[in-house]
Amino acid sequence: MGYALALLLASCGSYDEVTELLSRLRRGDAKERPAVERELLRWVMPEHVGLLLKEIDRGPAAVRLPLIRALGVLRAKAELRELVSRYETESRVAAAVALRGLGEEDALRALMTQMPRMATPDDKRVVAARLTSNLVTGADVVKSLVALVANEKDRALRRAAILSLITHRDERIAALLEKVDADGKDDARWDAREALILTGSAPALEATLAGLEADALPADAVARLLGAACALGDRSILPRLRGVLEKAVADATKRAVIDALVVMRDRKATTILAKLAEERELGPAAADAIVALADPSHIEMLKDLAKRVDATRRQAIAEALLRMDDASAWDLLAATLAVRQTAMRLRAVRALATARRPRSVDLLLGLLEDPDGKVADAARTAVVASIEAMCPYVKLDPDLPAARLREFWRSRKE
Amino acid sequence: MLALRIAILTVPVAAVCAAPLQDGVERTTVRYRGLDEIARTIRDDADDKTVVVWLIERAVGATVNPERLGAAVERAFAKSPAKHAVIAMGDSPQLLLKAAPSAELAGQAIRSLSRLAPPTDELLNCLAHVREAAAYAASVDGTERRLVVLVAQENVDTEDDVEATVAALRKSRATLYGVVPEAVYSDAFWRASLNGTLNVGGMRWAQNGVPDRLNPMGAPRGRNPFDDPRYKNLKFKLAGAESAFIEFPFGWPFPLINRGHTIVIDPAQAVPSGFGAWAIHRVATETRGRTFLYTARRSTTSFCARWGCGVCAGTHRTCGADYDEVKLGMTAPDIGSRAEVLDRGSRDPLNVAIVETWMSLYRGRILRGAPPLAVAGAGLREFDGKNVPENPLAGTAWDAIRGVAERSVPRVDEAAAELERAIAKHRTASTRRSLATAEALLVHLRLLACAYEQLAEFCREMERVDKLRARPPESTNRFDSYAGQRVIGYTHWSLTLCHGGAPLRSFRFLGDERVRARLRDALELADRTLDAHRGTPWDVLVRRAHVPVFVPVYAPGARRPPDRPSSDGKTHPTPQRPRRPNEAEEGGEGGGTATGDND
Repeated sequence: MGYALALLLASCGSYDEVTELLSRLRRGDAKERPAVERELLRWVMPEHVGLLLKEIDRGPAAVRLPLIRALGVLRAKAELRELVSRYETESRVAAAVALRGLGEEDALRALMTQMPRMATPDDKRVVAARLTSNLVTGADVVKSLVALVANEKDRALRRAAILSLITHRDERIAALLEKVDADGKDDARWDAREALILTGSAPALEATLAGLEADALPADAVARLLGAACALGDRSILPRLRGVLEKAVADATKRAVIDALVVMRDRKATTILAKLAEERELGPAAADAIVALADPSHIEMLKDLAKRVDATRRQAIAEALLRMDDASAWDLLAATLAVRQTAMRLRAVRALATARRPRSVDLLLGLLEDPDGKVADAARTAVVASIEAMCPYVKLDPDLPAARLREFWRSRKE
Repeated sequence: MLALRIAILTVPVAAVCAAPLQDGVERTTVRYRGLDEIARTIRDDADDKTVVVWLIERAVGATVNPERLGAAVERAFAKSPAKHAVIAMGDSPQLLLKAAPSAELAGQAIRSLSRLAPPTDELLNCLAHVREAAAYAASVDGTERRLVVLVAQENVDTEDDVEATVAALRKSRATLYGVVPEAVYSDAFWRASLNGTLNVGGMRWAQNGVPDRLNPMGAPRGRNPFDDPRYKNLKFKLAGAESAFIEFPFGWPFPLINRGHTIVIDPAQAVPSGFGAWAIHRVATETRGRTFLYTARRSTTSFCARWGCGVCAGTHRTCGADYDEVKLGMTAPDIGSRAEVLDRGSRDPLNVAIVETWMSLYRGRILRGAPPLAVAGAGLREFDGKNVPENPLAGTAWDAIRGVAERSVPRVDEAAAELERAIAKHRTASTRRSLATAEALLVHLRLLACAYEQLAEFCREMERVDKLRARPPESTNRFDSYAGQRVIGYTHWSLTLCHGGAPLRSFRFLGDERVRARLRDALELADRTLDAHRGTPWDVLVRRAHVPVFVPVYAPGARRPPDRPSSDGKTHPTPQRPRRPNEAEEGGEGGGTATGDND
């Protein structure tokens, strides 16, 4: 009897929990809903299907979506099939995606094939958001995407369709993309070029490199095209990219090339970057790239660079030098500790905390009574951690007075 | 699908003598290229009368991505008239594509591998598959050049008969190209694991008196996860090192253990060798092929980050050495047949001295791994000794452990001094490889003696703590916090020399000034050795030497990780095969520690 009562109370409890979560979902704003949804998915049970359908019917769309996803968790296929043809497109797509997760892809396929004929761009966008995840495949989906690329006016939609197309295997795709790429007036030509590069098209990559060298690519396309080239990981393009940096091309192009060289970890570019670091416009980007690419063979270059850059970059150089066990890092860190900004000083303290050297402890001990409380607290934590790391058989009280800490450190050093 | 099962041929062992090796400088290893460039390089060696047989591994574990490989082959061979065939490695070879002059079909067949179920057996006979692929290549009409491209990650360490494979490929006039991972330096994984002294996972934990519930591998106490029928009665040997015989000792009493106590390995196990496994490397070289080092499974974090480095707190960005291609060539492993390697090794006095040192420490039960070679008369012979099963340092009888530690120090010192004398005497008469190995071994031995001294001091501390009832107020001695606790074992974690010996000289370890001075000397020797061998595997090998920091393990507060199996001995699942450590994982596509820009 007691057991049955407990079960009853437990089921009431879960029912109340779900009801409460539903009302929180309705009351809450867009920021809170994901957390409420996560909680709801934990509590919802098959007996809540009716309640969920009622709430879905009440709307609005923002509330419907998590509830439809909850139906997916409950594997309510029949109810989801009904929902595919009701309400706004967003909810229909959510129902179709939930069904796809349960092994039924017909609904999503139907929505995708209908997309080019949908009434509003917003509706199309909702479906297009699902395109790149390649949830469904097949000739009809490819046909729909090809139609979208050929006829759609909205550029974002065309881009989504192009990038989705290359995840399918179909003979028509390469020809279509090459046609779009060759059309100088088509505003999706660079999207098509990017897609072609991603599929490994050597002519598309060559055309891009030639365009870069001739400074004939629009600024907004360069970064995307180089991103695609980087994704391919073909390091044979690196000498030509380095060559672009030495040519008289637009600064925006050079910036994109610098980013690509960093992504591909091209350490050979550091010599050219060192020259660019002296330029006014490209200097900061080049300096950041040098710091990102530097290895122990670049220590002298980093030291030289530290004399010419701002405090933030100097601190980044100090951290890089510290990671390479170079002694010049200490002076740079000491210089950062002498500035006024708390954030910069805290960054230097954090760097010292990982150094685990007597010199770092000496510098940190000097900050224990710093007028800036945040810096003093961070320094204390760093001192205790550093001493315990360097004396692995020592355990210190984190609240030990500064004088005792200094005394302990002095005795250990001796 | 054009699937065709082919029975594995048994190729008779042909008594074909291997051609004399080149001058000891190897030129056939291509390091750390992307799949595209590997495919392009192979294409450049193929013409219209070439058949390329792609022999691709399907395995449980790391594999080369079939999608990327298929795309790379399609791109590279798009305009090449060469014929392609695709064979999948599995329980038996499976022909996925009969020889056809179409890169597109080859690409499709390679991609189809991702849809095939992995083989039932996790250990495949790699060389048998290579012979089979060569036999198939020979059967393709109208071809003059036959390339067998082995693409494998997991089963490159299996050897049945290397010389028979060389003979079979020569007979078929086939050339082997291996796309294989970089071998671990002096890889003793199988030799240790099949003998029950593997310093991987929880084996050490179970043996030092720590209960199973703290055992990170989930292996019951004293049980070797490799005591399993699937590892016994194999028709092939398990090897995997870059050289014909393991050159650097294994079974060290104080293995490398990371700060989180989740990784336990021998020092050499964390060193990339710069070469592929000896068997594949030898067959490729003897058939005028190449070995492309390509590591599919690679870590995005540095050694220091994975090991919770006590010196840099894991911030060190690149912890491997940038291997110098010229130095690698000068110190390349001998890729002659085992008999040739043995013969040449016998004439290298430092090589003999290393074997003698290892053997003396093995016989003294300090190094638990048995050396693969022994000194016999004027030369070397193969030695089939068993590893030392028991660990004399286990338990909590501190006075007994201290006794063992104190007795071990002079024995290690004596062996190190002997080796040091041999280095001084034979420096010019030995190969660079032997010299580097001997000098790195000397560093490890000097630090081993210091580790024993640290252990002795640790035991003294634990004997003192055993008599304490409570922690003295304001004590800064970490051991005092164990007062009154039921200590049930001990372990250590490693302060490695990843940053060289200099930073550790300012660290404060156990012992008096004499002990600390001795440690400082060993660290200075490590720095000198690092300078002498920069940019080689021995640079990394010295950086993987370490000073152990000992930690008692006590019963009441021992927290049980939530996802570990219980220790009742009944609910343990069959222990998984421990993930084989592969420290050759850093870097870009293809991985590896050495530099390898292809531009």
